[in-house]
Amino acid sequence: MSSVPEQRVFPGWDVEGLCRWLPVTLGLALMYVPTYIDLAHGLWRQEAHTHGPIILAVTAWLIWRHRAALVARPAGGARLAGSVALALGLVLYITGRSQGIALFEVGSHIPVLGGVVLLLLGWRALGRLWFPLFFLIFLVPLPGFVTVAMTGPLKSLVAQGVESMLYGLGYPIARSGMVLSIGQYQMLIADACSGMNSIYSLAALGFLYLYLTASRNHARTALLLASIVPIAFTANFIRVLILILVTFHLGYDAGQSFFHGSAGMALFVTALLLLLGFDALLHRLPPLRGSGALQ
Amino acid sequence: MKYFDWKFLLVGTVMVLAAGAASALKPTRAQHETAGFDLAKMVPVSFGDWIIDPSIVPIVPAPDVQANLARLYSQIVSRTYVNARGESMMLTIAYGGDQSDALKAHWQEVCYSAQGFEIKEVLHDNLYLLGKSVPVTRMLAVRRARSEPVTYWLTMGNRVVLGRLQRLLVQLRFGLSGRIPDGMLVRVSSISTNPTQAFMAHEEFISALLGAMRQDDVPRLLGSLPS
Repeated sequence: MSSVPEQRVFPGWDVEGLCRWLPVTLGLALMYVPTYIDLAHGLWRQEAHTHGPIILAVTAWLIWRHRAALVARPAGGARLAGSVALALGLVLYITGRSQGIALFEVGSHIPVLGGVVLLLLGWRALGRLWFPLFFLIFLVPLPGFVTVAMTGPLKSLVAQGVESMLYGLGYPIARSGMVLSIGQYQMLIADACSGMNSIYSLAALGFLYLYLTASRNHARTALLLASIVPIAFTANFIRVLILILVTFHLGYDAGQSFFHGSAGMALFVTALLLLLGFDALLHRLPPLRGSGALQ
Repeated sequence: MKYFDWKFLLVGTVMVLAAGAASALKPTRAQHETAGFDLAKMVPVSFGDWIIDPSIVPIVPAPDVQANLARLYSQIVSRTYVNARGESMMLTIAYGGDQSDALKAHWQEVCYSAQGFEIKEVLHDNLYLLGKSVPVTRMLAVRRARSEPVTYWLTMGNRVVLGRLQRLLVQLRFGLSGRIPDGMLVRVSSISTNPTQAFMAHEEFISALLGAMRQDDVPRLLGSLPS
């Protein structure tokens, strides 16, 4: 240790610390860049998975935000736990990548990255990076049956709600399971066979918002967490409602072009606004005002 | 602080090796290089006292559904048969030449519920077909007044698979030995409010169908290995 201040090539950047990561970065790139290219040509093109690249970019940004944790002097890695996690992750990756099992290939991100952090930096660094690793869960494509089990009841509620509301407003609407008929048109609400549903990406959005606006106010956190499902429901409800009204008044083609064009974005914006609105409301409630006032 | 740390280099090297291993282990040979068979010809248009129902004009699925089907399955036969007593039976056989993950045949419980059906009861049973025990899934799909008992099975590689884990294991065994498995979905259903009776009728229908096929073609539907 010397008392002379370290010379920095780029002020504020720990170049030495970042340099040490070069071999690991190269390894990660060799493993996962081909994965991303394949995903971009396949899964991410499907409507239900379009949020994939966004999740990935957000995760990269979250890790970059914590780069100080990455270049800190290693506090002695957790060798055993790190090696086990990394080995598990690599086996998952090799199996998934070679056999085309996206669940394994993409899922391997979490044990691989977690293992690297543990092995090279230790538990404390993992504690600081837990959220980006957790957030990667939303990158993993779920098997169809899981999606159906998770989102089926909610979709069915949406269909029922839309039917009774429009029926109440005097529209010629009828429902049979998840098929809504309005006028001469018929629309299927759920398309679970084609993959993941919006609720999953809304949950990702909710968790990200909570993390970025982290407060010590546990009541607020709990209320916001509990609001994710009702918000997903409301946003979906509005989307289906708009889709059906557009189809009924402007015709089938208009409905389809809305559905494939802007409905997903409308869903996201609605959900975000609802979340922000709810949070703003919570801030106005005297018992919840301020951060950690009641701690 | 130093620019270089052997631990980081070691981890990086292991990762490079993993990337190499993954691309070396990728299967390249399709199980059936060219699917040298025509499913529509393989399945007889009449057998026993069953004939294709002339009154039914096949419904063409919506274009997006059609595109999805074409992506998943390379050949599909979808027919409604009728017998002398006026009973009808819907048969769907779909063949996919590549059953690696992205292009897998779908479990029908998931598909039916995605189409708005409520799946009442799902049970697994064995059919004895041509001296072979075939594990099938039976379920009752209900949508409003339409009550549709369904019997189906899926093959992966060269055997009938029941359940996701078994299918995954077959996929891995094929894949890690360098072969891409193919797969077949065989589904029989009818409109009936008496599932027990309908399931028996399905079994008789399938037996008659397999009995009337060229016996060389039967393993394509049932798998060549015992399940």
